[in-house]
Amino acid sequence: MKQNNGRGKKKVIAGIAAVCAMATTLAGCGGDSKSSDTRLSSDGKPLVKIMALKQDTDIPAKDMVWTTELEKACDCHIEWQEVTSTSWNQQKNTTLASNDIADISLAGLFYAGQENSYPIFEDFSKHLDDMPNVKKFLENEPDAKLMVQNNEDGGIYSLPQDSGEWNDNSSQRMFINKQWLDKLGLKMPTSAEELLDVLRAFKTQDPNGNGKADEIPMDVRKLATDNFAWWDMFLMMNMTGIPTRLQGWPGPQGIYVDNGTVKDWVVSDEFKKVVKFYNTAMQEGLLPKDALTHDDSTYSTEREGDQKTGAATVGVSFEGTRYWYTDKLADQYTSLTPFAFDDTVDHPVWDTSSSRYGSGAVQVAKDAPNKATIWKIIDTMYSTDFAVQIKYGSKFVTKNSDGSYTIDPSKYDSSKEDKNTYTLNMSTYIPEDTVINGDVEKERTEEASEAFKAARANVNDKSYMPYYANASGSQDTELGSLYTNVMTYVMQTTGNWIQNGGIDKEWDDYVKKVNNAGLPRIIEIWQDIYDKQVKNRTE
Amino acid sequence: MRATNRNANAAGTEAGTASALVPDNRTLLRQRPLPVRIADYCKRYWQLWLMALPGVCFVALFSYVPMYGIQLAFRQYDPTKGLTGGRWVGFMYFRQFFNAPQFSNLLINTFRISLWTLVMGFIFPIILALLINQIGSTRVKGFVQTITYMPHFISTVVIVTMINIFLSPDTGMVSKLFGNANLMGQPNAFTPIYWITEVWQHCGWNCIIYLAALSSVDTALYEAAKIDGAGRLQLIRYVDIPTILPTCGILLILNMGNVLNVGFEKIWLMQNTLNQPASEVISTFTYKIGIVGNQFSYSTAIGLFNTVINFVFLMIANQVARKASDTSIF
Repeated sequence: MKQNNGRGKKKVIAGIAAVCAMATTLAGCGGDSKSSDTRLSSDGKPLVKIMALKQDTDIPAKDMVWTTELEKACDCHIEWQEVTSTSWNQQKNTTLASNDIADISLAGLFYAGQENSYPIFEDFSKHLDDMPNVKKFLENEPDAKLMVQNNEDGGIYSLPQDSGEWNDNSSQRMFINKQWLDKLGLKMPTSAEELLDVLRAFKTQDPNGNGKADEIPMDVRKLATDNFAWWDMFLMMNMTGIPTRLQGWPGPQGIYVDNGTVKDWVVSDEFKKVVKFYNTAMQEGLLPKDALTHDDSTYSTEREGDQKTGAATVGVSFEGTRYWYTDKLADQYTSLTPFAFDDTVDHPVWDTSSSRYGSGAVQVAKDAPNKATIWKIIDTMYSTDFAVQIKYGSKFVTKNSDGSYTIDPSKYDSSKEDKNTYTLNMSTYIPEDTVINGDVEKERTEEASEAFKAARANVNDKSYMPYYANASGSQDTELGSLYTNVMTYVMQTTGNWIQNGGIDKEWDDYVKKVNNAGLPRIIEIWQDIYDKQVKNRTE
Repeated sequence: MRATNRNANAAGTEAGTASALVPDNRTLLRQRPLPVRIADYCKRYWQLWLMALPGVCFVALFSYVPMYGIQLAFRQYDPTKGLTGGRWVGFMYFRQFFNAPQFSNLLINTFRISLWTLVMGFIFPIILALLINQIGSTRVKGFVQTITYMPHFISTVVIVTMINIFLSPDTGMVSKLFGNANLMGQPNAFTPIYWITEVWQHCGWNCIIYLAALSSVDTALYEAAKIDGAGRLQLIRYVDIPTILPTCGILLILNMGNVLNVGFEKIWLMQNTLNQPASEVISTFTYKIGIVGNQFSYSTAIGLFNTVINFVFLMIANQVARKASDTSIF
């Protein structure tokens, strides 16, 4: 009798344990329904879910002061979700494919043109009356509107951002160590040959004066494996008269426009010249031996000079401003004015990227609840007070009594302990008549870009693919596989030529292979896009 | 058993009542109706089944149920229609893959890297196990074992960073032995660098199972062999190696199932523009096309191709092992 009872109890316990064990496998399940039109938090106020792209140094979004003020202004609760930019690259496509985007997406998660493949975004153009600040922005800056307007139905599925007129130039520039030039009694190079001579002098004559031959005459970032990247060594193409545009598609694949005809400079003779230039530099030891493969962190360390003595080590490189060489060494460097590569070039040009407008500031999910609250939130973000805080970080902004703003200089102090950034990597819209004092970045950029103004002016309107030319959904898929086939081969071969030479022998074979891999079809598609979207717009 | 039963029954019918008093339990049990047999089975073994149930549910839910997604390889994925709503296109993506210009290069690279790693990663742990087994003192043996399996726990990212530092031209420890050349930038050097570092990292861990097998050798065999005049090497050859041969066989079959699965992370981290002709493998290609390039159907087709090849290899290896040495997994 007793034994039977014991067995019965054991069975019950075993049964419960088994059910609990199985239930743990269901722990991963979950989800919420967005079936109703409103979503309320526990105290009855609307609850809005916002996802933002986070840089590694950002503080949590809810601690950025403007975010709490946003909640007050819209009388709601905001639930923040942040994704780091490194992991977003892999998550993005799967998030889109699962149709599971947040109510509002900020800071460059998605861009204009995404709606062609994934029609899950809300059309802002129908609701502009609910957002007067946004309406004013789009009216004042028609170029920004052009950038995001959908080419097929004229809707606006992603709001643009305006970083200010002083940003309307390429952030990719070339710099040279002026102190070294002065010390060796050399002039600024005005041709590729002269640049090679200057680099040779840097290598052999110890311009940083520390008795060691530790100078790196020219340093470049490693070649990416499937396209040309920002601050790439092929900015040199501009010296040959062909404008690059390494910022947005299809520039990284080498596409440019020559008076209305779309071409690709990876099969041009100018490309041959630039590759030969780098090969010569590599053979003579003017570039580091592992320049094409070294990690970006190694590159940054080389750029900062000798840690112990504080001497500079890099002579020429491609950066944003001279403060990228660290504040201590910045005074030694100056912008290198674009020169004509050789006698056959009439006018050098410069990279046609522009950092002024961005097309991915804000997107809204089509089926998000609490739409009225969402319009209020976005409108507040585009008001001037909030725009200044979003751009500079609430911590550093003080509003003066006359309506102007002052930025605290500690924001630009790179020697301070606190390396955090206090706002998202985005801006909204600051009207041109707003006075902002103390924007050190603006002064630095204006100073750095001065040398490139003349070259950029040499680029006529018909020589580059404008930023508003977008591929449609099906074109995107076809281009995707073509890009991989063509660019992987191009980058491999280019890397091999720079490291080991041999371009003259292998050039014809290379052009044939690139054409077989699909380059003519890429050019054909972009010519079609250019004809339909650019030629038809009146400037 | 059956033969004796038959004989017994025959004897029983012949002998008459004498054998009818001895019931044959086995046939009786087998002759009961099916529901009764099932009930009895459950009463006997329900604990074992309950123990296995969570695992079974887990594997069923997460490994078998998602298999319906394989149809993505045969459909043209349309984001608005979901996983199963795309148009049926049959083998189009497989044809696209076979006709892609990188196809032969991808396959050659994958096979070369994985076969080198497989063979070398198979031989060295055995040698290391045989060597460690020869160590007399248990303390020294334990110490050596711990030191050799420690690198197994270092993460791939750290290992590749170490490789980059050791091989960086002009400053790297190892590159000095090769005349300061940029080894990471040479396609020919990629496979050796890969398998040498693989073996170095995992040799100690993989030899643990062989050491376990070796510890089960009957010491009487050693003594018998020594009496017959065997030296150290002959002991290894005639006693140790036959002992671990079944273990070797099973591990080899298991690894053959991974032939085309060259690990993604390490290759991805070691890849750069210069060594790409030798370092682009199926897994990194699928990642670039599928996840970054947004072509889900195409990459599913490539992944399916990869898995089918692995499966065929596993089957072949299993058959060969069964014929050759009677050890096999199934």
